[in-house]
Amino acid sequence: MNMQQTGKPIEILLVEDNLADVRLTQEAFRRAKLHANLSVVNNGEAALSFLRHEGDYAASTRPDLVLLDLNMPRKDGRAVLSDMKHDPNLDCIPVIVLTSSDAEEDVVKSYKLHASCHIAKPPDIVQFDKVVLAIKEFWTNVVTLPRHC
Amino acid sequence: MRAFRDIPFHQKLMATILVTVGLVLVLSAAGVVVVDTQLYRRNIDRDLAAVAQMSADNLTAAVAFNDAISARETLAALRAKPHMEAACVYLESGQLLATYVRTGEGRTCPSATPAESESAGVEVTRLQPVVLRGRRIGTVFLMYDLAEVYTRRKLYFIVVGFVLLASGILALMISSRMQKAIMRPISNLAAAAKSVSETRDYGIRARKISGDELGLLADAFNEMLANIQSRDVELRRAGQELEQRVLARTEELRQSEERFRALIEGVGDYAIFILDPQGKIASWNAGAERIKQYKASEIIGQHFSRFYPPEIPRTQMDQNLKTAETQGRWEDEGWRVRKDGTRFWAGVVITALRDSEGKLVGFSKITRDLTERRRAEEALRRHAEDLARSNADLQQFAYVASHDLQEPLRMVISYLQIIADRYGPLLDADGHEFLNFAVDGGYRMRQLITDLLEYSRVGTRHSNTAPADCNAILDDVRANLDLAIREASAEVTSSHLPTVTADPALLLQLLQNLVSNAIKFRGKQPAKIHVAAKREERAWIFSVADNGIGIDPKHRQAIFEIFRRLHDRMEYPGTGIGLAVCKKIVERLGGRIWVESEPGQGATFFFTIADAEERES
Repeated sequence: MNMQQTGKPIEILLVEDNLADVRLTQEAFRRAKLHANLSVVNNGEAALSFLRHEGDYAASTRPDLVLLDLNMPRKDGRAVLSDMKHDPNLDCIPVIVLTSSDAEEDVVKSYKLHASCHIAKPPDIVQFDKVVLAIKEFWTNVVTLPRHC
Repeated sequence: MRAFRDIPFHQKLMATILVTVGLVLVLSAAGVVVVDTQLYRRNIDRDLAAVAQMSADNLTAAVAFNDAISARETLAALRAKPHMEAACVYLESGQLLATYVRTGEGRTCPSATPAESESAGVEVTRLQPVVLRGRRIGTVFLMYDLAEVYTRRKLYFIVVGFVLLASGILALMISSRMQKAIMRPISNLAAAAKSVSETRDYGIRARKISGDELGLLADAFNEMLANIQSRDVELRRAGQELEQRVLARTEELRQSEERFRALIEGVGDYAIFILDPQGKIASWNAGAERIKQYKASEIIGQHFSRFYPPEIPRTQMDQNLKTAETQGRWEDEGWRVRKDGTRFWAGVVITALRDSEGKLVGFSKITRDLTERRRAEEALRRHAEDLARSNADLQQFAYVASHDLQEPLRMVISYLQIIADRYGPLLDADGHEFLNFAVDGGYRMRQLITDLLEYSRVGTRHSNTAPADCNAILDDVRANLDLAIREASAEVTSSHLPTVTADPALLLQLLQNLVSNAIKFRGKQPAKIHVAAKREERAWIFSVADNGIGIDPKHRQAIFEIFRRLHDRMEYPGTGIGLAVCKKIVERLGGRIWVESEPGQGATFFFTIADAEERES
């Protein structure tokens, strides 16, 4: 069963330290008319707290999808990804690595850590629109997401 | 016998003659005496028998008539026989009738008739019956003295003794004459031999005196001496010749050794000297004095350990010599100490020296002062390290800068686009134009950054060297540039290309940049591009020829500089990175790149790819 059919907004957690990127993502979501509840955290530790409903995030909603930046201060995206995939409660949540790097080693690393996919941040809004539309189409219309792990 | 064997030859000869003569004489004399005695005895017996018969006949009457006087007279006739000692006449009854006894003799007749005749001691007796008409009437008994025989024998002995003496003297005389004849040649020979053996003068000759065996012996001896003499002369000549040669050779050797010594001693750049088997210094040269600062007189006889810094233990030096001894040679580089205590970096070779029998006689030690070289090497190494570090820093900087520059640029472009989208209606024509310029500038900057990133990656990315088929790579290029090729109606042809050992990704980028360049700078007519390769010594030369607009020769170098552009951006877009990347790739593969062209005549780009082994060296 996919999101389109249920009509429920898709729950997405954006892990991104750069506010400009956060706003750009929100703008792209808006332009793509992606029906989503977008939560944002600015670092890796906050991401894990959010996912585990800890501390300030005790009331957080479990996301259907995580958009994860790799290069962040303190705990970076790779560590978050690794922790998630080693946590039986979090390992089934799809993670889209969305990062400025398209270096081969970063791409390989993402998949080795069991990311669902690796997307290089598009260089302009036109490209970004295409990417968000693709995400919307694929993750809300095509795939079936798990409810629990 | 030994005494005989050792006496001189002439005495031997004389003794032999004497013994021979003596023996012959004694034996002959003995034979004569024996025969004579026998004959004489037989004569006596015969004579005695006749006398006895005669006496018996003459006495027949006297006995028959028992006439003692007549019988005595008859017997007295025996006086004529000087050796008849006594004569006795017995009657048949055994009674003594008459006797005759030679005067002076103490003999008497036996009182009765003796039983038989006998012959014993110095006398012989005979019994003779007196017969009358066949009847024995009495007996005559004669006693005969044999002293005559002994007298005769004595005479013989005396004669033989004289003869012996005389013949001995004669023999002595003869033998002494003989000696002269026989002994002189022998003595001569012996004297000559003795003289030769004492004086070693092989010119001495034995005098030949006789034509007999001794003469032959002398001849043979002389011939032998002549042979020895000629051989001796030859030998002496050969000896002298040899001595001459040895002298000449020794002189040659001495000169050669002197030259060699002078050469070694004169060498100033190397310390060359000899150690004895214990490691004590046995020779010194100018280089050693220059490098180590010791004079020969100060250092010869010292142990070579004094050249080592104090922190190196003596056992290690002994070990070094041991290694040189067992393996023939020991090499080292390390710090050594001069006389004034300063250190220098030395290159040392110790070689074992052995005599012709393989016995260790010492070591040669050659030391070079490599301090300058080491300093230069160290400087070079530091320089290379600095350069490598600075290069790595630069690469890292270029990569990080390009990467980090992308981020803000992405924001600039994206938000400019959002402004244009969302607030477009609020802007006038100028506003739109300005926004377009801003976005265009952003895009160009992004391209520059991308190119810079690519350029820096040529140096940083890990190179994967494997055999790469350039035909397949060119096919990939054609596929990648498919759109551009079709748009330009270009034709990309190639000869058979080799397989080279190089990173295929770099080769692809290289060929692709050159082909796309050729397409981009095509002339009015459709582009014709030909890729070929030919073999050069230890490298391949590739060529990419086009029929495009060509390049002014004065720009041949400039076109390979980064971000260098010869044309207006409106006419030929691009940042001017392509050929700079090509150059960098070719240089990375150990080759060079150049262009041959005239404006309007097309251009041919050449690059070489050295064989992998060449690149490593």
